[in-house]
Amino acid sequence: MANAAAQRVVLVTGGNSGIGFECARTLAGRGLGVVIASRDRHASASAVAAIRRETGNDAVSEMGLDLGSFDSVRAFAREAATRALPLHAVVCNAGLQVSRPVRSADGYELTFAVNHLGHFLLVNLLVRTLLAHAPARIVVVASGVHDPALTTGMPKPQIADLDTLATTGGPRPDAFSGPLAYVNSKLCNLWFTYELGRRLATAGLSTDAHPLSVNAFEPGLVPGSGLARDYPAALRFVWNSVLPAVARLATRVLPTVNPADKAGAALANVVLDPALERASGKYFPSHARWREAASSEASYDTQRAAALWGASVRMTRLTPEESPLVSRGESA
Amino acid sequence: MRYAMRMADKYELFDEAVDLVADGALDSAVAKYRQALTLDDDFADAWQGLALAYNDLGRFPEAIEAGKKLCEITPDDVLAHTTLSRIYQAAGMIADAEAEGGKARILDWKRQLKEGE
Repeated sequence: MANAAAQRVVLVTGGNSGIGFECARTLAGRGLGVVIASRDRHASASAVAAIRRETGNDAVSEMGLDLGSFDSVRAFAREAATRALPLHAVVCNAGLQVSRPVRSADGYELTFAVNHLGHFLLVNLLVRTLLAHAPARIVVVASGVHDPALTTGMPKPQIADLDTLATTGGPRPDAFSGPLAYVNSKLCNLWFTYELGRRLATAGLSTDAHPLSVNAFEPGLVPGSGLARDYPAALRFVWNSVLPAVARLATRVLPTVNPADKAGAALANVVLDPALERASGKYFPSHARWREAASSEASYDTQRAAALWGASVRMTRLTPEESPLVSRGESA
Repeated sequence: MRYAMRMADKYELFDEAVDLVADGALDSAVAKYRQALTLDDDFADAWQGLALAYNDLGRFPEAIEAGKKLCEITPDDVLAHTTLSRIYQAAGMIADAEAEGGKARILDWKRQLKEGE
């Protein structure tokens, strides 16, 4: 199998388990180079070994990335540049939900920091590399829980000011709810996806001849995914060991319940499908069997999306030298 | 002329260990993680890798010891406690896995109370 440097490479954050792993496995099986990025490098290396063994594709590797640390994200981008990876796609898949308030290395609420800020910074730092290898793609893994019109068993998003969101995950400075922080971060994923697409187009960086598409993917409920990693052990056992088998049966009648391999293959398809090369600013949810559909009304709020972008630039201290999508005024 | 051989630092050894895992050589990876730890006994990433390597090998007592050491070094880290809890779970020690999760939460509350003082 060809070396990673000689072929198209896809970066999958959180690619060592759940749908990220299944996505990486599918991409490797189609002959693409894959880099799995995660803080847990041993788990990533185990995933690499399993994928290499199954697909015979040696162009699968891992790199350390802690999305909860801006220093780590910047170090990752420098390492990617050093390795001159021919990066054609980034799959922003890593995500977590915590049961108690935890701060990131930079002092932000961990769910918001990992699910939104870390990916915001990572993508901005890699945009020039992606543009150099266009046609290229960015796929952001969102969630149906961002949509208050859907009954998901999760709270509805509540976002007041962005500084409170960044420090508590919710709308109140004196309260914390893990599920609410998660739901809010998933709405941020969509604001980020759509704002990024608009900025790439407005700046003339993504063109018909050299498109860099940005889309959001919604996997549905995927038992066995890493989201339960902070749950109590008994609940985690049910989530990881019992429910995947249930999902395999339920998915036949319920499109929003999916085993990890099915959702991961669908995620890989958003990276691979030639018909989607120029499709940008789209949403591919499980309830539509991963065909294009509308996300929630709130997710199309361009003012809030722009405000989140500005706040994220300020929080990550992103500069115009680091990203062509940031202006002097924004980073000041 | 004589050349002194440069000693690999702990990060290089850790990288080599992870590469060995990717190559499916878990026993060699264990040795390499151990080598990194001889240079820095508080190297949390190496304890994390060592704990999971033992876990992958089914050597649960050693995995648990390494996981406990990891939690000692980084008591407020979600990943550390999750790792130990995962090992307990793999070893079939569900009650210990629950207790570890509860302990992690108490530790975190204590830290937050201290920060709020």
